[in-house]
Amino acid sequence: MNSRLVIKLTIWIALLSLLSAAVNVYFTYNQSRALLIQSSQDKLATATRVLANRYAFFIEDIGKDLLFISHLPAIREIATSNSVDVQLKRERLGIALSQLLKPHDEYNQVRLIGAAEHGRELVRIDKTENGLSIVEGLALQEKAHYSYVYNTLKLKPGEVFISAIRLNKERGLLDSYGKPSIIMATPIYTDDNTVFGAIVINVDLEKMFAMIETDIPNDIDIIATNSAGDYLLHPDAEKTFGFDKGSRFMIQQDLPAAQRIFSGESNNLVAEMQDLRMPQKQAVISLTKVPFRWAADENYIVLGLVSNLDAVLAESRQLGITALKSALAFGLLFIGLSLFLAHKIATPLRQIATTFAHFKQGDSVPEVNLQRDDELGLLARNFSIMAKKLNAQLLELNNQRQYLHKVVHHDPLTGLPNRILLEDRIEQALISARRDKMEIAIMLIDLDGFKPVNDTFGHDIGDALLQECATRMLSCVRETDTVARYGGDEFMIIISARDLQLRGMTTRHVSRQVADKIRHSLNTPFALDNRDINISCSIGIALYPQDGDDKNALIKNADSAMYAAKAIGKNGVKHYSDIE
Amino acid sequence: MRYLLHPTMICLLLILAQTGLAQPQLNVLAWEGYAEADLVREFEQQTGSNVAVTLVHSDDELWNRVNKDGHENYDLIAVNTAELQRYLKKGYLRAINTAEIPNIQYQDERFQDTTKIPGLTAQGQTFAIPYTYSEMGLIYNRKLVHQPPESITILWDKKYAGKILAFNTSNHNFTLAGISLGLPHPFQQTPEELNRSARHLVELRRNLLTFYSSPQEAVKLFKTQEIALIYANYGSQQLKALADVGADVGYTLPKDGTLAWLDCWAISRTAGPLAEQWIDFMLDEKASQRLSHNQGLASTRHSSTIHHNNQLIWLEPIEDAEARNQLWDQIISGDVMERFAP
Repeated sequence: MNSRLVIKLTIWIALLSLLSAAVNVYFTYNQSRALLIQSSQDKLATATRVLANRYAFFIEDIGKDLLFISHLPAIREIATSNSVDVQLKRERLGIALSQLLKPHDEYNQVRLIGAAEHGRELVRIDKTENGLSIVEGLALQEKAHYSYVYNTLKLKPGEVFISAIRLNKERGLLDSYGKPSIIMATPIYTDDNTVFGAIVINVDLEKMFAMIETDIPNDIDIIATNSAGDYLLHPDAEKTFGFDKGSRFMIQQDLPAAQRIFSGESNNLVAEMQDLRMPQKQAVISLTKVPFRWAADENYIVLGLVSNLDAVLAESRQLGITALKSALAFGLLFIGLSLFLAHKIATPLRQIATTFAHFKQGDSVPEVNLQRDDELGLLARNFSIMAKKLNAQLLELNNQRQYLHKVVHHDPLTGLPNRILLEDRIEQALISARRDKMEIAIMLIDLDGFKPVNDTFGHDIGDALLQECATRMLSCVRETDTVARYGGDEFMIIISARDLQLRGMTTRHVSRQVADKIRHSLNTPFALDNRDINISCSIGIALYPQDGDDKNALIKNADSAMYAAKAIGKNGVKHYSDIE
Repeated sequence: MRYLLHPTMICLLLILAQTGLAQPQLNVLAWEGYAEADLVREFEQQTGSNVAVTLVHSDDELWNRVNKDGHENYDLIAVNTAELQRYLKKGYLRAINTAEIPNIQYQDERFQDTTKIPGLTAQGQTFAIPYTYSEMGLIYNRKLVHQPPESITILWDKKYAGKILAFNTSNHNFTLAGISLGLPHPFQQTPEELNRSARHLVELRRNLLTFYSSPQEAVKLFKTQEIALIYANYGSQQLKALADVGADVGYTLPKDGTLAWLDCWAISRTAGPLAEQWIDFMLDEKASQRLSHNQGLASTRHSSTIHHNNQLIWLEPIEDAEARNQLWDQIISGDVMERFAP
């Protein structure tokens, strides 16, 4: 029993703690994964809004540049003058615009386009591989059929037009042919409020985005679509400007939910979709509509960021592993703790058990040495109390048993063994005598003249007489002999004088001496109730083995001998073998 | 014999079978409305194939795709009769097994005999099956143009300056300019004539609002700008698109010549028999109905909604697509008239 409880408790507690740890790990992992994805979505949505703001600011800045140029005195001079030095003024404007173009890496062309002559370019500075090129003469083209011209010329002063983002298909600007570009323009008015032309800036979209997306991490892809959903920016360049190249690639094909942006249902969207680079992987996409506050071919573009979930999932995996590790560590700790706890519980129990195992009836109740306030202390104390009660009850029961034993086997008046005990003792003596080949004597004593005493002086005196007789008889025998009240005024004595037999004396002789001693003792007057009472007794003796083999024969023969003695004339002693 | 069914053997057979059973791929180069997504899906299911449709918006783009990307990248090409010739010359096409296309017998009589349409046959073999056709008429805004225009020269009419839309393409525009100039062979122009046409196109450019590139763009421009005339490169298909948005427009075929194109299915030299199945599928009643109902195009199964057959000038091969292209690039970019001095 000593360690079974410890093992069981340890196993159960350890199992429970491991189970709870496992459940904990599972939920922690799942929840943290969801939280991480959610947080990455939130981050991406924020980043997208930042990107959209930057884009909007960028467009705003281009607009400011346009308006700044439109207010240059040189523009006004060109717009209003009809003088011959207009060519010189255009050259000067060209130089001024070159200064603007230089620091702006993303601008690849600045132009002043006239409303007259079918939108003839008046001043045009192209950015080329080798620097800036001021285009002159026949190389200046007519642009009135382009939307950025015919739309801009309808605008009021101070307004700006934004073209759709397209691949530049205008021959003449060598370095930019086929490159994605956005064109912005503002109208120029003369003093008499007629439209003179437009200032037009060509922006290289790639360079512009390179500036906007500076701090977007490499693993996040930036995408952009026009207001129809056609990709303008996509990790796979093949998918961009499909509308300009023949096969349209639209975001709605990859992400049907994106339609909500184009239908005007919402301005932002965060969703999970296949990664654009690796379709087998999941990614989070965040889209934001960037509306333009100015006139435009398309009222908005849609910018988006796509983040592979790899990093996020790796993070949550890492978290899962960490959680698992700590769960295992805690599991081990729990096992240790449960061992300790089991030990803590089992030890006092064992102590209680051991203590009470050694406790026997009648022992003083052991105090279990548990100075504890908890249930174990209570258990030990209650155990102690219970043992004390049990002990007390056992003691009482024992006393009662002894008392009953005495009542059953003794004569209540004289306190001598009664007939039941007597017969038992005869049997015991016979067993012992048979085994050792010894003799015993059974002596029956009948008081002579007891009845008249009883009748004359009353039962109280009779009883007192019997008691006194018993006392005197006891003084005549040795401790090893038994004096019993056989009934009424008859007593019986068992004599087994083993020591005397071993010294060569016969039982016959010894019993004769004892009988005579008793006869004499009882002949002495009894002083009872201020009177002397005289009685005598007749004694019959039967010997084993001479006068009988068993108890009944011996008692019967002792009785016969007693009657023979009484018949002779009372106050006599007779051996059974002496009866004629 | 029993060893033949050893598990590894079965695995091997399965792998071989899988590679053999991989879905056949069909790459189709077509125009908007020619192969609607649900029809493509139906064909894919019927044949267990995988179809990739690439849409083109101009003849030049179509040519560039086949010529530069490689004809082996495409199995089917939707090309008009005029354009067909340069594909044939380059040997990009193979003869079509017409026996595998039972739907031919349900086509309008005009199209059944391919020998009667110039350019469809070579050495007695058929290289293209007519699919759809349209004349390039004029769409006019009834609010601004009160009489149906009778001549194509109306595009140059200063009365409508800045309110005209023309199509952004090189070859038809040069042919159109040639017809407008009264050249004897508008499809086969001499370099001088081409230069004249270019100057004429600069005049056109100066007279119009802009060149559009797709029917939708024309619709959008019609809605946002004041447009009087549209040169309908997409014919009745475009008329339908405008009518759908509630534009009050008329459609007319100028008497001095209306170019008409007849688009056919041609099969790339490297394509398999699945290509014939595609053509048969597309000539079927369902696909044909779709052409007229959804796209406003005329199918070869039914007669055209407008019968002006004698006024149509079927497109013919042109003298030098590259020359027209280069000139067109200059024109669209805004080069001034002096650049095209004779």
